[in-house]
Amino acid sequence: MADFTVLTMEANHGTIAAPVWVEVGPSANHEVRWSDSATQHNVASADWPAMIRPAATQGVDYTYAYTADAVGWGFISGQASPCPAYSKDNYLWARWNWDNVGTFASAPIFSAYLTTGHGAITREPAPPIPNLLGGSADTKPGANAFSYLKGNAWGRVDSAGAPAAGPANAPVITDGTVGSASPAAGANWLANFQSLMGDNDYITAPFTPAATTADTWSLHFRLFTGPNMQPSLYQVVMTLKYTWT
Amino acid sequence: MIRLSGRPWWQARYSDGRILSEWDTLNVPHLRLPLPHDSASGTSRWEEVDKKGMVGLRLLCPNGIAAELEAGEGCQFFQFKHGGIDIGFGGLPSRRYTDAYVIGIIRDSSGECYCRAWEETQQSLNRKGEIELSLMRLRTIMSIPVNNTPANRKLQSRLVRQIATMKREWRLIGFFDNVFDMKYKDIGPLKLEVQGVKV
Repeated sequence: MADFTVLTMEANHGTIAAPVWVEVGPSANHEVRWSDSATQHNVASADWPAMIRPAATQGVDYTYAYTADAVGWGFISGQASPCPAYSKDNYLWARWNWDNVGTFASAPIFSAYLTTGHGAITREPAPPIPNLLGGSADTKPGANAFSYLKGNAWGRVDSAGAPAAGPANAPVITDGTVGSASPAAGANWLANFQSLMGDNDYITAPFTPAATTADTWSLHFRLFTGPNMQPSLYQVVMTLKYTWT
Repeated sequence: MIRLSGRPWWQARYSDGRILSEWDTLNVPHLRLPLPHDSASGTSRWEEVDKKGMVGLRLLCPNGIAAELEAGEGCQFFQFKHGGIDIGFGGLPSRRYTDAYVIGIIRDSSGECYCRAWEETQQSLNRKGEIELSLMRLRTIMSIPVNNTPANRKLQSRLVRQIATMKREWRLIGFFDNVFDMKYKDIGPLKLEVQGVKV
């Protein structure tokens, strides 16, 4: 069974010029956290500050890569505080990383779920909105509401050429496409960010990575919030689904 | 041993009577047994398995049932596992998982195929695939004060973990699909080169 021995998500807490990739999962106490405060470097999870529910929709501007419960820097922070505010132009943001043991049997899929149970997600559940992914009037540009969590992905493995610029369009809270979205194969991001909503909305790679070849796949993600969210502790899993032989 | 391994294993049958089992292809020379997935059982490489003369492919399941696909010589068999990695944020656990073991046979040049899969399902999902929470558990979650104290966060995390680990079941299913665009689990096109088949 040619599965991978090492398969991780990594975040860049260095800079664009000098990336420093650190694992944000699956090892214990490695994770991503979001805040509306730029100074949440090395804060224990029990002391993580609450955010005030905003009166209008907005992005959650500061994203942190934690490698222990109280050890973490902001994304693209150069391992310095304060954390820089989110920018789509911070193109070396995050990536999936795998070793040379496994063989993909199809294109991998990037999405997010409410729990590791991967239960179906109700699109636009009745308010107050109890989770990050189902969406609400805050995230609804037309007939369909989309997730508060948006993702983007690069159109090829990084060994074929890593990103040298950010996506064309900055993410907005109403971004999303029902079902699968794929960047055009090659040196391309999705033009608009995709809603990450379990099996409802997700990103499919436009390629199947080469067999038994270590590589990485560049990603971007951006969290939004809005007045229709319910005060709560919000949790999420980001998932790479794949097949192997 | 298959039952003890907790997972299914493929087994190929050839026109000359040979039988090749997945555990025969493990890359650990002295450990060719159907051991559990998380043991040091090494890996096997389906892409390197001889497809010439293969006339049957079985899926030996841990509940004692075997599914078999049969065909004349020259038919094209494939197999794969489906799973992934969950990266938990906000106190949720992370995990690697396998939720389906699939064998299949390509029926014609259009890519139409028939598959058997040993797949994981959740006992607590209803017909629409929605998680069914008891009213009591839902009320418990809703009643947790929203102030951000460590005790409340811990309670919320515990309840979410309980929901995430609700009892799962495995079952053997059969389905038609197409290797050029697998609908099963939204897989999309299979990479036929790594299956060692051409259509």
